[in-house]
Amino acid sequence: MSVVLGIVIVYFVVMFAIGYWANTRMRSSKEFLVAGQTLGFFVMAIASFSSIQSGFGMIGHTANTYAWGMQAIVAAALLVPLSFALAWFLLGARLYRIARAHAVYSIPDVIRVRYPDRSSHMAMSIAMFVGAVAYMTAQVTSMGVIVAIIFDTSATTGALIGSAVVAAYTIAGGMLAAVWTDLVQGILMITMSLAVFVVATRSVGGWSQMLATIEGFDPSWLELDATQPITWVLGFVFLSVLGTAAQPQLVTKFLMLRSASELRWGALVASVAYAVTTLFALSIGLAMRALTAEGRAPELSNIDNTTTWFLDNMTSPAFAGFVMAGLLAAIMSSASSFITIGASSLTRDLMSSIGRTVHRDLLWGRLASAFVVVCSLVFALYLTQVVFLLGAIGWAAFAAAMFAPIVLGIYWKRATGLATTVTIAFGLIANLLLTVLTSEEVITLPTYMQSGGVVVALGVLLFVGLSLLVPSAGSRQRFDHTYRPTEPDTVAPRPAASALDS
Amino acid sequence: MKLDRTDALVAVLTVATLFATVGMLFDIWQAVYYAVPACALLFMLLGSLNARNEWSPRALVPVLVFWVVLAALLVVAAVSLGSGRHLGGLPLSTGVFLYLVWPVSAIGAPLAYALVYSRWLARDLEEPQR
Repeated sequence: MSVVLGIVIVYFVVMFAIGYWANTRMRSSKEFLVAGQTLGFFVMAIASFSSIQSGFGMIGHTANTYAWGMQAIVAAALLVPLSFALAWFLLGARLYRIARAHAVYSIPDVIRVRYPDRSSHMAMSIAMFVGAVAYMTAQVTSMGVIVAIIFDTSATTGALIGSAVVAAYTIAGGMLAAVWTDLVQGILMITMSLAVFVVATRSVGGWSQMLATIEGFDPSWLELDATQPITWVLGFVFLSVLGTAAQPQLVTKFLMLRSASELRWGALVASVAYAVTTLFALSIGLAMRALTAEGRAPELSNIDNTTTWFLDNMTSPAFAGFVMAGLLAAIMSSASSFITIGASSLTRDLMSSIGRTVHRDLLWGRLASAFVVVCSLVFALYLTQVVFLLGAIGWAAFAAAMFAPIVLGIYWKRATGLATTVTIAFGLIANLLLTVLTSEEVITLPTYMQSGGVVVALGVLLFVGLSLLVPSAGSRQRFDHTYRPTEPDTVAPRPAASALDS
Repeated sequence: MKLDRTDALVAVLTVATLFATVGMLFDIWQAVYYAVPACALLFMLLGSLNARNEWSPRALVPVLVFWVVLAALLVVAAVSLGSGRHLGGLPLSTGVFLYLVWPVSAIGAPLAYALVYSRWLARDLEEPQR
């Protein structure tokens, strides 16, 4: 255990050092929220993939691969690299132009520039805050589990320690610290995933032997249409492909590039990096299934223990420590992005949507970051649902609320502010209702229905339908304004603005 | 009402999404499955439009080549479901996904983007500011 502890403490020290370095470069909210728009393609792409590849992606996918077999990987991981490329297609050039034409530091800023309605700006600001806290809650829960194992303490204390570390470097250095720690964390995740693939497959006699063992035990673990209904699996694929381009931790990164030429190779770096880290869930999930088939591992009653059982029983302490550091990296890289996104939604976006301007925005950004962490801790300590469920809520809610208003809105002149407001509300409320009603067994969805995929699809249909049924001349005019450079607009020039001085 | 390229793409995307919705609601997996490559093509076409809503035929070549390969692989994976044949120790359909769709999409799609960017989109973005 001392080896594990040592490795993780070294990792924490590196994170603090980056936070300190970023803190010395903090001048304004531009550095705090969009890293001063200084990122090259490699840093931006690695930060993008590592903030998308969360605790849900590493621990949750591993658990589901163990429980469902190959279907889990097909559903939630194999087409995500494609969706990274699609995100670069859909967002890259357009968001770069918007970020250069206006002072756009956040997704609600994009909405403010694109649509004339105050309600759409406010709705997106609220959605960002709610979604950021929900996502952070999932990361805090995951951190609690991992840190508790490393420090041999309770999950609550683990969540507090992990949250304190990520909060410290993010509050100190904002998004600048977040992206540079993401770079270190992303490289650690890639290296760790490659090493885990080798160790895990070797533990059961290699890749071919592992597949043969599983097939001999029960071939359905390797089929596309066996353990879960295939329509459910494909609904998850649909959610993944559309949803990636609508995740704020990715979308926001496009606002941080230092020049347009940085767009060219970013998609390749992010796609390949994500694909490599999928090897983690693929190899441990299947190896654990093979170990169970051989009688060398018990059938786990709690599938969330799949990764930790494997590390405890099949690897050396030093390797387990290395992997634990990699898992913390996956969790913290998502967490740091959401802390700054949540802070921005409170101090910059929500305030400007009600016609107020926050002065001393750097100070307020830091205070709001602390508030996001505290909110997430409170939720995490009172929610006991598994990481997978929490992660799916955050992903699906963002996808439903953001895909059409942002992705279609920056191309389609007929998109309206009203449709944006309604779609955002629909995305959040529908996901929340479905989650609560199904978990409380008020309603029972058919097993083939992937609720997140359905809500995202309905959100797109609702957005297009409303934009056509209730057209808006104002929204059409704002489309041209969106790409036209204007005078500096640090925050929304709303009428009757009054200052919120500190 | 004059329709432009974006209107047409949004209309087709709406139809594809409608198919996916019906598939997810009524357990028609083929409707969801084929909506995915349809959406991928539409997104790539949308993202290949420049600032004046124009395409470059030269820039679209890599997009179409990638998409034809991806769509063909997805068709093979679908028709080989339950075929009893194997690829690399996996049932053929799973093997096609893991050994072909995954690497082809992880490398092919970003390369297509890099080509579209270099051949077309960069002209809007990297010109000196007037």
